Amino acid sequence: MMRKQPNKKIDIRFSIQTKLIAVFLFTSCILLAVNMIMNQNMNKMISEIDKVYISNVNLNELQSVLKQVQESMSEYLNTKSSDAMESYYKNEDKYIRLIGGLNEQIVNDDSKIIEKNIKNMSLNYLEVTDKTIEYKRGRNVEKYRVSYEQAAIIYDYINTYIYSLNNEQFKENTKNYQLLLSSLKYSEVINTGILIVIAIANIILILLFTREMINPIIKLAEAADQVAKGQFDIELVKVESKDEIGVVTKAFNQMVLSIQVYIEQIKKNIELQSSMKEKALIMENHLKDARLRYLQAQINPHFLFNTLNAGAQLAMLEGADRTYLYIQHMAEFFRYNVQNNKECVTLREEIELVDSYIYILNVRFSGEIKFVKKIDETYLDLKIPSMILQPIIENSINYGIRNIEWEGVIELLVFREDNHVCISIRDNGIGMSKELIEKIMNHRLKDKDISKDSNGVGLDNVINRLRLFFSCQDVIEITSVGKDMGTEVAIYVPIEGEKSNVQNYVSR
Amino acid sequence: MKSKNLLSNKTMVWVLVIFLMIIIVLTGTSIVYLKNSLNVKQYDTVEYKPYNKHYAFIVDDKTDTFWDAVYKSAKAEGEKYNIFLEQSGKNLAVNYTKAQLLEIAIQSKVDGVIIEGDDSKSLSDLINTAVQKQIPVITILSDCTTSERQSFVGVNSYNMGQVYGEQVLKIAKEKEMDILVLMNSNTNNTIHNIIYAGIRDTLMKDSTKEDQYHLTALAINNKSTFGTEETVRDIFMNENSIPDIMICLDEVSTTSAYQAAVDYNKVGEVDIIGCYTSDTILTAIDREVINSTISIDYNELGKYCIDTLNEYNNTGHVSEYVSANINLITSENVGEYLIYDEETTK
Repeated sequence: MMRKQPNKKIDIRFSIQTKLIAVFLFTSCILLAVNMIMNQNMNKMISEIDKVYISNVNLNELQSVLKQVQESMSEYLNTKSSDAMESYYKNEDKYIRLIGGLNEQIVNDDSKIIEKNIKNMSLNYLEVTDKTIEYKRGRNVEKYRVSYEQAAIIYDYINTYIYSLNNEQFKENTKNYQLLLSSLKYSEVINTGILIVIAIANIILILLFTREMINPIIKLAEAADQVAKGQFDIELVKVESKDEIGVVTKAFNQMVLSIQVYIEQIKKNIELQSSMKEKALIMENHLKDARLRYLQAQINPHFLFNTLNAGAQLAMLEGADRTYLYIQHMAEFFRYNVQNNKECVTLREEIELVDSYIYILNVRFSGEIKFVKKIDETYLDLKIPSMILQPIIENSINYGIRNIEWEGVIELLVFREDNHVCISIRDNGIGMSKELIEKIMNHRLKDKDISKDSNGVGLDNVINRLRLFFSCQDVIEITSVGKDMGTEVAIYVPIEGEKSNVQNYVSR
Repeated sequence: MKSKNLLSNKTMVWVLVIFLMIIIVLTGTSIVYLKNSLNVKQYDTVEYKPYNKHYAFIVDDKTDTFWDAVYKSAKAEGEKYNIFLEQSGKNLAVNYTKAQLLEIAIQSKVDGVIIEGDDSKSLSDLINTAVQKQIPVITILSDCTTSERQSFVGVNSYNMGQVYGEQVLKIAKEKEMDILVLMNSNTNNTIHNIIYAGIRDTLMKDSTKEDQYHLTALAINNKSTFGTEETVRDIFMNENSIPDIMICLDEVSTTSAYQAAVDYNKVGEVDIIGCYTSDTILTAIDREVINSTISIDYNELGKYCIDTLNEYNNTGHVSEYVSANINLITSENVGEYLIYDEETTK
């Protein structure tokens, strides 16, 4: 767990929203930054324009303060009021401060020289006014009048100078102002142009970015379209992004894979079903084959059966009990064959048939065959395919014990072994070679090997039907220890599932 | 896929880089452009050339091209010594008199004054005041003899009169002649009187021909606006008053006389002897409408003013009188002046 965490951190996922916000933020930031730079420039220009007339403003202030100095001096001379004096000194202070800002260097600029002249004249002027005030205080009437006149003349000069300078600077400033104004207009046009260019560039940028995002969606849509058309065998969509589209793409790929797997399974199921149907058909075929052989072997079982019944009745009338019994067994035997069209019968019925068959043979071969039954009767109702036991016993008699010199014994055993009911038919005949057993089990027995004496249903047929019926290869086993050691044919009927197998079989 | 190449990471990076570069270039160039278009003269940022001294240049008629030329040559000379020469009254809203301008110069505490003098008492007093305040004063072209000015830079007016007189003699030869001298009524100006005396003395040298020349002087009130031009026209309008030779002692009257002679179809009848060399006057001489003109070497005049002031400032004393040359320009030698003028105007 601890190891996985750093991996997760490296694996940063950007959602579409984040990406879109990033793109828009980026373009907006650029637009904003450029706009800000432009605005700053504009503001600078505007403040420059504001500054254009500042020199005029300063000169106007200078002029008005000068006027106040002159006026307050005149007022003092008129009234000698302390208020006027106070205001004179205040204005003088202010004026001195203002002329302090004027140029005092000799430089190659007419305006600057005028400034210097104004400054010098102002200093002289203030000297004169100071003297005037002093003379007035000292009641030196003659002197203060002369001094006042002088001050008035200088005041006049200064005024003219300031006025002229103001005019000159106004001209210059107006020129500057117009220059600034025109460049401001230009800059507006340029700003708009730049903003338009950036806006277009931004749109292109957004287009490119969003296409990058949308491209996987388009691919996914194409793939989905193909799937919708039923083409499941498509190339998986490459997962390029780690956003929601990536997740959807992954899910889509998974879905396509799952669909392929499911289709495979369904195909297998269909194959299985068809194979089972095939099995049933083969089974039916075999049964039909068995029955056909009967019909070929016996001209007319019904006729034979009726004839035998008539014979049995005749024997009874004549009091020949043994004959009657014999014919009766024969009739039973054939009736089983005729009547029993069912594919599935009880063990009991099969055993009865075997009894009849043995009886007939014993009469025929004058009691040569010893038939021993050891049957667990609880399994007598066990369902098995019809015409199974009789052919096996016929086989045992024909190939096992017919030509032996000792007494032939055939044993029929029904018992339980684990989950199976074992139906075992044993003889003490000549036995079978392993090659023969293998041939029989693998259906390689040829027709010529089958005796003409048989009722026609061969072991091969029996084995096939048993295998098909129980869907199991190991349902029958043939064992023989050696020559003259007898043969055992064992049928293992499963108890568990027996019912379901049979039911399955019947329902088909 | 077609778009795959277009949208690879590399392409995106390039697109971004190009995009940013376009923006930077655009913004940069526009800012530079605006900065350049904002090349407005700002008083705080402009570098000025500092000077050591500040002289004032005061003349009556600042618009006169002669004085302008003198001022320019003086200014050029001043530059050599790191002196700023201010043309007083220029760019002023009020037309001050010389005396007022001198007073302003004194109040402005200049380091020296170059002034077109006259013999008025007020000017003389002001010059004395300036000298008292340690401001050296130099009169130019016309003197203020009563004052304590440091020096006078000008032409020898009597000499100038003699040149005029000789030119009259050349024109007149044996004939009887009416000669009119146009003078300023500005009587304080003594120059014209001296010139007149010079002319008269030259003509009277030959006592045998005393009655041949009828020399008269007409005072023009050049203080009244356009007075000169009107007076000159009056002379031409009255057939009887038209003289044979007309001597003009300043630029305006010369030009006016020339124009009037052309307008009243008196070219050839009236010989105009002018003063100063403007383009118009030189061209007129070339066309022989004006007979000749006397040119004062304004370069020398301006140069001497500065030199004299410097000399006084450096040594404390200077020669009382410095003389500049005068040249007579006739149709024979006007060619070189025309070329020279072209060169200077260039």
